[in-house]
Formats: sequence, C-alpha cells, structure tokens
Amino acid sequence: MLFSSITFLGFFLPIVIIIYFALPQRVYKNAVLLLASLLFYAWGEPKFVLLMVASILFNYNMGLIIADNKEHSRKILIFSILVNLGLLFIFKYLGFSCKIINYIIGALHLKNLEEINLLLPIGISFYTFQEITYLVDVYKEPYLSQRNVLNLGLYITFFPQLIAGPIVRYHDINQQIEKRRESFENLYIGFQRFILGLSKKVLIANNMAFVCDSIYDADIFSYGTVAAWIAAVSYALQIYYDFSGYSDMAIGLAKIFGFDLLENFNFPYAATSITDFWRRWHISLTNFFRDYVYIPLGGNRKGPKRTVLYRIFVFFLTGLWHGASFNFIIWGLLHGFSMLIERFLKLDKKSKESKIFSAFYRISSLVIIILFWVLFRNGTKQTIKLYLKMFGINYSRFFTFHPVVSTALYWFNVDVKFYIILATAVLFAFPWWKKIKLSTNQAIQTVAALLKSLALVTLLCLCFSFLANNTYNPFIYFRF
Amino acid sequence: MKKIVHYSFVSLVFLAILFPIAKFNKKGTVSQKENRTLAEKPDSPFKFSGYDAYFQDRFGGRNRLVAIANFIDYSVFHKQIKNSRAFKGKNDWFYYIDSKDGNNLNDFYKKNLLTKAELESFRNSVRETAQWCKDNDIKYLFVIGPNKHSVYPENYMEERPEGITRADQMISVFKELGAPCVFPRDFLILQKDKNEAPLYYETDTHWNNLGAYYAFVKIQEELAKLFPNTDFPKIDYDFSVDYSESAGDILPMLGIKTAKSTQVTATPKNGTFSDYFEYVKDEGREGVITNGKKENLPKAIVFRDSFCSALTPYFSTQFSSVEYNWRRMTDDDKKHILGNKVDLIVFEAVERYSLGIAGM
Repeated sequence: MLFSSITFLGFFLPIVIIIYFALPQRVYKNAVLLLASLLFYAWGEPKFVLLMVASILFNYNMGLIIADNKEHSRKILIFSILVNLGLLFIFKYLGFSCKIINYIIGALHLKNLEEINLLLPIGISFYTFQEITYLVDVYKEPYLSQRNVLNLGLYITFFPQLIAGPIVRYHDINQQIEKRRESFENLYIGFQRFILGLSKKVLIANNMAFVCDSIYDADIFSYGTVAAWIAAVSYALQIYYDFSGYSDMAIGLAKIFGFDLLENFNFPYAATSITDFWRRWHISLTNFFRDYVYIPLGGNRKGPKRTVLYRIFVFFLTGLWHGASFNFIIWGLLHGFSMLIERFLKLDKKSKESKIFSAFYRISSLVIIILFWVLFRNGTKQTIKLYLKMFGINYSRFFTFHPVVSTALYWFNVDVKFYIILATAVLFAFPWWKKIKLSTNQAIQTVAALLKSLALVTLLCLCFSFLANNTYNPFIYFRF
Repeated sequence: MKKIVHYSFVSLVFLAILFPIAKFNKKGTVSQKENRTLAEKPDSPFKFSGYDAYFQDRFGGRNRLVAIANFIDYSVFHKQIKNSRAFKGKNDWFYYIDSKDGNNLNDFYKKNLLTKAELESFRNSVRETAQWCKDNDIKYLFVIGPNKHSVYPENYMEERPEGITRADQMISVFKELGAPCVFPRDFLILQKDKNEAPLYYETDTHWNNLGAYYAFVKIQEELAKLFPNTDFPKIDYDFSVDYSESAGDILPMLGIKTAKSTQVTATPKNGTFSDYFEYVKDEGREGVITNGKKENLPKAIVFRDSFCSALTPYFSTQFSSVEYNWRRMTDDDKKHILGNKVDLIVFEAVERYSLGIAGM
C-alpha cells in the first residue's frame, strides 16, 4: 500500500488511528500496530507476509540465543547475519549473479545456467538491514534482546517505515516500543510532517516524474539538449522529493503513534561537496554502512590504503543495495571515487579558504550529482548517449535545440505549471528560510501557526484532489 | 490561542481523512458523469488490488476533488489537461486515451501493428465468419469506425508517425479475402475540409451525424454492390449546425463540466426519418429494432458498438427491418439469424476495438 493512495489516506489511516487511540493499554496498541503493519504489507505482497513473519521468528530466536549464549555469540551472530543476507541475496541478487555467470560461461562457450527471475519482496532491503541492526545491537549489549516476539515484530514491520525506510536501528527505538507517550501535540506535529511529506510526493515529485519519464521514455532522437537537461534536473528533484517526502511521511506517522524516528535527509542538494552530500542523503543508510560495515572492517584506523579500500567497498555496497544492476554499482563507485578525489585533493580545505572556490565547487558537485543520477535512472547502455546529448555532442545524425521547442513543450507536458513546480522544488531544496528569524511576539507566532496550518490543510486537499484524478503516481524507492 | 489553532488543525485533518469513508458511495453502479461502470466490491476479502479500485472509484467527495484538480490545471495554469483516460488536445478538442479501453494511443503511434501470427489469426477468423455467411447464403459487411484521432490527428498532436496502422493491415486482409468492408477514414479526412462543421464531436469520442452520414455514403456504395437488384431508397439530407456547451463522454473523465461543442442535426429533405422507418424497440445497449416502410427491402442484423448509434437512422431507411445488437455475434445469434431469414449481417466496430470485429 502506498501512503500516497486513497486506500491509505481515506481508509487505512483513519481506521488505524481510531482503533489505536480507542484502546487503553500499550500491549493492545502495539498489537493493533503490528496487525495493521502486516495488513499494510500484505496489501502489496500477500504471499511475502509469510516470508517476513518467518524472518521475524528466525531473528527473534537468534537474538535470544545470542543474548543467552555469550561464549558462542559471535559465531551465532555471523551465522544469523549470513542467513539474513542469504535471503536478501536469493530474492534480490541471485538472478543478477546468474546473468554474470552466464556472461562468463558464454565467453568460454559453455552451457548457460537457467535464468532466474524471482519477484522481489517489497521492502526486503529495509527490513533485512533492520534485523541485522537488531542482532548486532543484541550482540553488543545482550540486555537489549527482545523477549516479546510481538514487540520485535512491531519493530521490524512498523508500517510507517516498513517499505521505504528510514532504516531504524534497534537501539534507537527499542525503548519506545514499550514506553512512549502519545499526546495531542504529537498528533499536531505528526500530521504536519505527514502532510508536508505527502505534498512533496504528490505535488512535486509526481509532476517532476511525469516530465522526466515522458522525456526518457521517448525515442532519444525525438528531443534535444535542453530536454535532456530538463529530464536530468527533473529526475534529481523527483528522487529527492519522492524519497524525502516518503521519509517525512514515515516520521510524521510514527510521531502520531508516539514514536520518534531519526531524520533521513538534510537538504542534500545544499551540500558543499559530494562528501557532504552523503552526510545529508539517505542518512539512515549511510549511518548503517558506517556503523555496521565500515567501522567493523577497521574504518580509517588501519592506514590510508585500507581506508581507501574500505570506502570503495562501502560505496560498492551502497550502489548494490539499490538494485542488482551494473548502473547502481557504477553509480555507487563513482560517488566513492569522487569522495576519495575530494579527500586527496583536499577540496574541503580549499573551499574553506576561498569563497569563490567554495561557490564554484558547490555548483560543480551539484552538477556531478545530477549527472550521476542520469546513470542511476537510465542504466549503463543509455547513459553515454544521454551525456553526449546533454552536452550537445553530435553522436549521430543531428545536433539540434529545435525539437525541444516544438515537441518537448507540448508532448512532454513542459508547461507553465511544470516551471512553477520546478521553481518551487528548486527553492525548497535549499534551507534558506531557516535564516529567517520569527519574532518572539506571541501574537505573531500564533498568526504564523494559523497560516501554516491553513496552508497544510489546503495542501492536503490538493493532494487528495490530484490523487482522486488518478494523476501520475510512481514511487522510486519501492523497488529497493 | 495557539492551542486552539493546534486543535483546529488536527480536527480539520481528521475530518478530511474521514470524509472518504463517511460519504462512501456504496450503492451506485454507474457514474453518470463519466459514463462508465464503477468498480464493484471484490468477491474475496483478499483481492486487495480490487479494493484499491473499489475505494478509488467510490470514496466520498471524489467527483468534487477530480473537478478541483482539473480546475487548477485547466483554469489556473491553462495546462494541457490530461489524465490516464483523456486529454485536451489543440483547438479545444478532447481525446479519449484510456489504455485499458482499446488503447487509442497505440493506434495513433502505430505501436500495435499485427505480427504475422496475429494477422494469420485475424485472417482465419474473417475467413470463418465469411464462410459461415456464404454457407447460409447471407450477405455480410464489415464496418470499421475510424478513431477520432485518425480523422483529426492535427488536434491530437503535431505529427502522426508515418506508415500504416493496424486498421490498414486489417483492411488488406478483407481485400485479400474479398470480404466487403467499409473503413471510411480517408473519405472522412477528405470531407472534413469540405464542411464547416466538424465530423466528430469536440468533447466526445464519437462521430456526429455528419461524420456518420459520410460513413453511410460509403456503406451505401457497398450495399449497391451486395444487392445489385435492389432499389434502395435514395434520400437527400439537410444538415443544420448549432453550437452549444456540452460535456460529451470525455469531459466528465477530466472533471470538466462543459466546453464548446458543435451539434449537427440531419433531416431528410423530403419529410422526416419516421417517413422511412419506425422504432419497434429503442433501448440502446439493450437492443434497437427498426422496421422500414417498404417490405420488399432486405432484412439486416447489425453487431455493433457505440459508433453505430449515429449511423442507425440512416441505415434503418434502407431495410425492411434491422436488428441492432450491442455485442459480437454468438452461437445463439447464428440460430436466430437462420430462423429469421436475415439477408445481411453487418459487423461494426470502432477502430480501437476492430481486431475483434470478426469474433477474435
């Protein structure tokens, strides 16, 4: 089930909220959230609910064994992680691995393996990582082990973050499962955050997606340089507003039920460098790889060569996590290498020394990030052609700006509305308003709160109306 | 004061998300506005995707919300109005593009050309149908109503891709098998420049009375070949043109109430249609039967879709009786045809559904 669907907004959410707040005790409230989460998941993937339940039971038992068996806990931890990763591998990477093996076998003129095309259970990348954080946290601090299987089930399946994160680490939330406080203030903050995220998704990301998909899905010969850039910028904004919108919705929904989830985005396109970008983009994933892969491997404690190796490995994994495809791996590696270049050329230091260089490097980093998104979106085969098109290089029969004017404006729906939304999207991708200091005057603050509330209710109605109209509503991070 | 703002906000949001359930449209089965059947409740509680469609179609406030979305696009942004079912083309012409309903877009972009195997399958079904008619000594005629955007591509997009369409492929099959057929696309394109009034409704999927008349002219030519010894009535028509605001069958899909639409009325120059035929039964989809005033004319049965509605008055003048059935021919129909000594069977379908014209 999508948050940005009528089923969720108009049926699932109000019913769950009513039942949740009608129940008196924590144990019943948690049970309702668990059941609702299972239904939420089953709505998209009924048959994979059993897989998820089996995975929860396995990790619940492994957690208990790790906590109660200090002597062999390390071996059991490694075994459990391997089982979890094995499951992820089977569903997400087995087909891809077969393709690579067949490619090698083909080159050696041997008989190919049979192709494997398994359906990917939604959210498996997210919940597998959450299960790993649980096992590692219990290994480090055995008293954290969850004795109540329903509570662990709720941690793993909690619907606000189940299918697209943020990846919630167990030690960040374990206490909240049993001891949290629902309040009217939480409802107020939660609804505000949820509507903000929904608006980012429905009003901005969907409109960016429509134009971007229209251009990329068209024959590459039918558009020119400007359209190629419009598509690239639209995609960069789409993926940001789509994913950060989803994270906002998750954080807002969790808040409604009294949970505090950590932030997942911090204005990534305002980053001063690519290194800074990764401090601001999908923070929960970056933190996961830092804390559960990079540091356990040795981090930067084992000399510069190892540091380089580990960083590249982490970005290889980051790319691979996004999907079993070469473009994701190359995308991850490109980010990793870019960060290493920044480090060795000490660009961070140079940026601090010169404002002009800082501005130049900020813009360059943003352009590089946008170019990397083109690879992420379009796969390895199409990307080179798109890069050539974006830089106006004639790789085939024509070079022209002309088709952009005559065709793109009409057929790619690039119109006034798009430009207004594009401008809004660019504007709100940067935290300029945080510098505005509101008066401490009580009356002004009340008026500001009133205006903000009215704006959000209007946005909610707009989202409802666009969803009612069946407008374009894809979701990128579902497939990860 | 701040608390009042907070309470009001939460209450308003909660009311907004409760509204879809509170005003849920449980009973209705057809959307009059959109001229379509609403999704029904799935027969199993586990058919979740069915529930998505059920909720999406029937939640409280849906029609108003669709109208708001389109008002914003249309009136505020003057945007090209478009959703998954329809869009506004140039010069205030509206087009139907629902990919789940025949897929006009594929016809337009020529993305649905038949493969060799599909052509062979189509050829076989035409051959089978034709053979059955021949075996029973019944004349037959295939009529394909061109999609609106096949006749008016200039309002649909800037340029239609070059090359043949799926309908062209099918016409080749008819010709190859010697099966009589009418596909008046090119004739209508010729005629549209000769007339001030359009041949299709601006706000509707269908041809209007003028477009249907030109299609009928081509049908008459075929009838003369099929029944060389029959003296079909030759009727001249007067056409009066009127401009009004109309929703057609497309605008409700976009949540727009009305837009300018040209209405063409046809009247026989000598008298009225009722001088030539009368309706024995006129129940639209449930069936239409007409009786002509001359008993020596042939008897026809038509397997039709909505494009036949505007053809009905013209066509009915030419026969002693016509039975219009809103379906493809079934085995029961065959028995009925043989029992009633029908002289002509007409298989009519709009271009986007024409692959099934011979029962495929």
